[in-house]
Amino acid sequence: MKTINVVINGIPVQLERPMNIVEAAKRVGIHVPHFCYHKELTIYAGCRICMVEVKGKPRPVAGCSTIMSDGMEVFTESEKVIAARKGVLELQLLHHPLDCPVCDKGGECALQDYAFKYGAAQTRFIENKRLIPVNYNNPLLERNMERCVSCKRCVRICAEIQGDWVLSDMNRGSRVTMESFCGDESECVHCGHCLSNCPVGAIQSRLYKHVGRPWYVDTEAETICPYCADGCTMTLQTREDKVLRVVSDETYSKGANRGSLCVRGRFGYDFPNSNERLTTPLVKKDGYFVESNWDEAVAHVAKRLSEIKSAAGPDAIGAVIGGRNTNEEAYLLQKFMRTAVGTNNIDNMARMGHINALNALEAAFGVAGSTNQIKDIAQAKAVLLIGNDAATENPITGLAIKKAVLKGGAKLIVADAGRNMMTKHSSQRLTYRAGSEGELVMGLINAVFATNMHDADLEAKNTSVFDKVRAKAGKYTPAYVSEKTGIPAEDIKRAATVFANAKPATIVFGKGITATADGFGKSLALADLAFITGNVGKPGGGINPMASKAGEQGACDVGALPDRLPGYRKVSSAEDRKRLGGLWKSELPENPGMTVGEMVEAAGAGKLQAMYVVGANLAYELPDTKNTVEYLKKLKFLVVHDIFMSETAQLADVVFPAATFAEKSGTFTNSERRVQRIAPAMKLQGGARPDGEIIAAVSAKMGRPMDWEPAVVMEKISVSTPIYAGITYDTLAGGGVQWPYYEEMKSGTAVLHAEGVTGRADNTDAGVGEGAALAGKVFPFVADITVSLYHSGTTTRRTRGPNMVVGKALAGMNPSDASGLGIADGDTVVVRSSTGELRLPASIDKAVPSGVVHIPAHFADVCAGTITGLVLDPAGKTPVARYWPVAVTKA
Amino acid sequence: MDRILLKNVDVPNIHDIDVYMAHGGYISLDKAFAMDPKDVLEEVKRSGLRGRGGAWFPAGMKWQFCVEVPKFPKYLIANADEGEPGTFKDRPFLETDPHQLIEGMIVSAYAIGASGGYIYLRGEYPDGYRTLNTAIKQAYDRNLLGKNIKGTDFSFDLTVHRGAGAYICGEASALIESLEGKRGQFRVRPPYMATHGAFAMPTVVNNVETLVNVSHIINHGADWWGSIGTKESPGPKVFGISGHLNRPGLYEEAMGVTLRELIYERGGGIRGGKKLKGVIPGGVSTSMLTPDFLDMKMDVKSLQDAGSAIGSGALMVMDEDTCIVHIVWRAMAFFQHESCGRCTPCREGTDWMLQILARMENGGGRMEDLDILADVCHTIHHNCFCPLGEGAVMPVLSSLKYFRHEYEEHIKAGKCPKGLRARVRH
Ligand SMILES: Cc1cc2nc3c(=O)[nH]c(=O)nc-3n(C[C@H](O)[C@H](O)[C@H](O)COP(=O)(O)O)c2cc1C
Ligand code: SF4
Ligand code: SF4
Ligand code: SF4
Ligand code: FES
Repeated sequence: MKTINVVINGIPVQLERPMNIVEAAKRVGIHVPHFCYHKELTIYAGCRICMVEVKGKPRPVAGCSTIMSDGMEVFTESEKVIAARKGVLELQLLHHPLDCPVCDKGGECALQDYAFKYGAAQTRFIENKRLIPVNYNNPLLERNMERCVSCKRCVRICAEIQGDWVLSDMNRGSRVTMESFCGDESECVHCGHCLSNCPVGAIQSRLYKHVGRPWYVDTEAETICPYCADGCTMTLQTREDKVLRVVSDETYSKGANRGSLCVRGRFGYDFPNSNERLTTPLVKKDGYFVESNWDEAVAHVAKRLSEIKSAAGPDAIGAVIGGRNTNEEAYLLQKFMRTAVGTNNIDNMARMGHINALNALEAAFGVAGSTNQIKDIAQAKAVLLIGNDAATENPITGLAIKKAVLKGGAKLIVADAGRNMMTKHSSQRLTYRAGSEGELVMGLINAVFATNMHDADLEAKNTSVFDKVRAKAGKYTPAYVSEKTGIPAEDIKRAATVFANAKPATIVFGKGITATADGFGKSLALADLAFITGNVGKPGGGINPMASKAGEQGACDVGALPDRLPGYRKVSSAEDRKRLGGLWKSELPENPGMTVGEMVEAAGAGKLQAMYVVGANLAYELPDTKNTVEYLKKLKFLVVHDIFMSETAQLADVVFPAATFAEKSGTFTNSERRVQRIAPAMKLQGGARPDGEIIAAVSAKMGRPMDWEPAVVMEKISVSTPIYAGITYDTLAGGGVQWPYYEEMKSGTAVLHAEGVTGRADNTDAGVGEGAALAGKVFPFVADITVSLYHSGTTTRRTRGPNMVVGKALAGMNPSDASGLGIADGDTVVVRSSTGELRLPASIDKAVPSGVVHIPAHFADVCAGTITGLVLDPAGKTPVARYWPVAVTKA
Repeated sequence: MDRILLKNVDVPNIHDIDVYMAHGGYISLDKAFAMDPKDVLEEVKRSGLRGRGGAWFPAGMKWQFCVEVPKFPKYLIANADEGEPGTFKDRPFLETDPHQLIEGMIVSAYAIGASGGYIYLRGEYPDGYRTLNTAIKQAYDRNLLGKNIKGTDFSFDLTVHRGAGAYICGEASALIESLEGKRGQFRVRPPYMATHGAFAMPTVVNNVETLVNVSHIINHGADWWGSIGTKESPGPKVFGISGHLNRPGLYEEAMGVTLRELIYERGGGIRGGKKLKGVIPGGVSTSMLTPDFLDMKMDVKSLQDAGSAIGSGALMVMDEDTCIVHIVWRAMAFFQHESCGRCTPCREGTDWMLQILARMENGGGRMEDLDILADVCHTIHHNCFCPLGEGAVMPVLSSLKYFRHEYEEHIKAGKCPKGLRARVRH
């Protein structure tokens, strides 16, 4: 395209593409005032503060809606422009309450800034001001329409980016207000997009109300949200070591989320300052915790572990790291176990499901990670979202999918056994019987082959792979699959056609696949589907597994796995053991260790005598709570690091108070392989210490000192972990890197396998199993145990924001199921299984399919593990606990 | 001039298709279908037909833009929103003689290549809704609408869509938004309607009267039609004249008829033999004029030269007893109520001016209010987003120009000299 030459305030500017005057002026550092313009939203051109003068035009033009053409000469601060701005501002301020002293936006308000610059000192308005009561319909937000400049950014971002259409501009003329239709904010997901995007103080956070001022902030850290594995970039602002608030990236450009956040990230920020934080090491004496000090507690732990090691051998000790720990911490813990203790009994909470996806992708394509990046899901022409509620579990991935649908016209196929909040954006919803997800995927593969919609060119180059997949899918005819899944055969064929014909098409999946029986085989089937349709290696294509928590992918990457060393090198490989052993100056144990589920079972059997648990709440997160607690109690020695006195910490012999993400450095690797830095925004709270420092202290006491400073650890990781080669804190500056990193190009890898897939592992014969119906006579319902948008476990129980929206567990039930059992909304129900029962209020929700009860997995008083049993899938040893047969009765 | 457009309005039951056909209805279809669509378009272009909705854009040129876009389906929309105070000239074609509009639309759609048609009807015209729908049904029954009209390849479907009572929805792009089920507001351009109109397809929006003229052009030829009226604004025009007249009503005249003829001949002069104070020549969004302009021709150019606009041809006549401040207040009440609220100048400016005008009418006026009014008008006129705001300032600006003394009298007297009061909303 030919360059466009324009002149702005006398400065010649060359533009390589057509753009509006606001953006063009930005190129040369000129700010054109604007309220309603936002680069991520459609042009509205309503506020009229952006008026500029264009040479030859009698009247000012709007800088936001005027596209610059060759030869255009613009003045952004001429006399005429200033007069126009003064005029518009006078009108903008007519009814404004001028309550800046009590408005939280003060100091960062565009209206305030422009009024200072262009406004008159005094108004000429002598009539009565409009009075509009503050709208409190939203539990987290206040809408003060007296301060609103009617830019409609809130309405538009809610519709165009968030895709939830909660708000609208009600009424017309001077009576316009931005609110939800009829006051109904029930569709609001509290993402806070409207809040962060309001240029003035018309929308305010109830959490931040009168908490601070921009100039109060004494420390500000750009960091990564610790909740889900989307890994959002956000800024934590603190004053005197208290979190004031979280703000999102105003440039809408950084990281995976590019300015967006969900309710957890934006409003779930106050747990670091909770008065329930652990402050000092605790050592249990005679069944009671006694406050100890670091030296004593560390020495005690080292002593006890050494004793058990010499008495029962290193394999009598196991360690688990949780999903919210950094890569560095996971690395240190596995190194500690493999060197200081001398066992491979190290696992991380990706074992709850995600590990199956990683193993399957490694088996299929050779790399244990998502093939693509979240952002470019938006380019897909079709998305198969299966076993993952992206709107709830990984909302930023959800936004990318919505963008594909809303902006790109993509077809979204939502396949799920339970409630899925992405359904409203779907063109097709497939509701399968819980347990039959594998048959469905096989059925799609079968249908693709049956109608020759597979990538024939690719087949020619990969005949044996295609033959294998074709053979495996042979028996899964639409009729057979229909019977297994309960989905009409026509719908299966239609979904296959839509998916196979869209170029590119992508797959997003999560625990609804990975945390079920044969999660490995089912994940593999999805990888095969992506492959045979020619989507692997393409931007906007590929296959995206969704980890659950921020630290899961990274913990696997750096070797917190019983059968893998850092970088997924096999423990069984003598060569790799030797190489690493050389680096670590230690002989590495050669027997693969136990997974977390196996460790708990072994503890029950008395084979495992000690456990070292970092940031994982096993007594709550694992299924079969009753037995898990029992088994953990049998341990001779249990060490727990946590920020709170979790259910697991209560069982411990020693509890170390750990630092939160807000107090430490480190990295997280998100679901798209993006390694990103977190940075401290406050001093360590109370007596807490970073987990890495604690692990290193214990290790040193056991005779193996290690460096724990995160930047140094990352340097070691980059040496010992081939997939992290070249990644240092310097390379991570400015948005993180998707591993593998290429030094020559100074860039990570957005799309894997762009040059084609090389070779499959030999375990790719794995099938998807028999998805026998879970529900039966005695237990006619299936409990769908899943995360809530508002919660995430131990941490969110101690945050105000999410609890202001959803404060208690509810059993979601389909209206027809409920009425059949005489259950009304709010009635207490008993959800009973073979292992236990839960009592909680019912929530009648037509988004829950019939036959399913939706049980959230995070509330202290309603522990979903009570109704599940510990069943480990043979392939990945992952607990099979996503769906569980239950009976439901009215209490 | 012999009536052309209103020729049959007094024929009993002209809304019935048989009566209409007995009076020569629908013969333009045969003529048009015998021609290539391009030639129909050419004929309309040659006639010099300009849109009767207010902007007076050459109809043929607008069609041409749309024809040139290779996207289908294309849409033709008759703008029957007729929302501007004083305007009622489309009513006969909606309530009395509907087939004339349908016929005009079919021929126009043929020329444009449109396969879908809408009549966007003012919500407050319930009679028109019934009449049009019955007429459309009759036309379908005779294969004048629908698939393969009269055995040709040409198909055209027509639907009446009722507006919901917003003046802005008479503006072509807001009309389309409303038709699509969205909030009726002006669209940011580009993209233009010729490429992205209704449902993102090429679309032509024409005023009812514009479309009605088309079948006459085809029937009698562009030369004959173009010979009526003035050279730059040819053709017949329906003037709706209202106000303090002896015989207010609709009058069809050749373009270029003088203001004096309209008021004193067709309208029968001022009621009660009073003197004329002023006129609003083309609907409330056009500038008022004084009796000095009585010999002005009613055509696009002459009104422009006079600093006003012909608009929709809705002439409102005010006698010597009229309170100008009251009239302007009333006009502003309309604009304040109809402002869509999107842009700051119009949303806030009309509201403020309304409050000032009401205060002035009720005795609280101050001299500085006149400056404020002028300033606000300037801010709106220079900075607002759509033509509604531009129109909203016209009554104020023109009254300040010609009738400033009336404002001053209000201010000095501390009340309305005519004893009127403005209702104040709370
Ligand atoms: C505020 C506003 C209201 C309008 N209302 C009408 C209307 O009621 N009827 C109409 O035909 N045109 C109306 N117009 C003009 C239309 O935008 C458009 O120019 C016209 O329908 C085009 O048809 P024409 O070219 O046949 O005149 C209005 C314009 C504005 C700005
Ligand atoms: S918080 Fe999010 S979903 Fe709720 S109204 Fe605002 S933008 Fe919409
Ligand atoms: S509430 Fe804020 S974002 Fe929404 S229209 Fe008003 S000023 Fe704009
Ligand atoms: S000028 Fe502005 S507020 Fe008025 S109608 Fe047009 S867009 Fe709406
Ligand atoms: S920024 Fe241009 S009109 Fe609002």
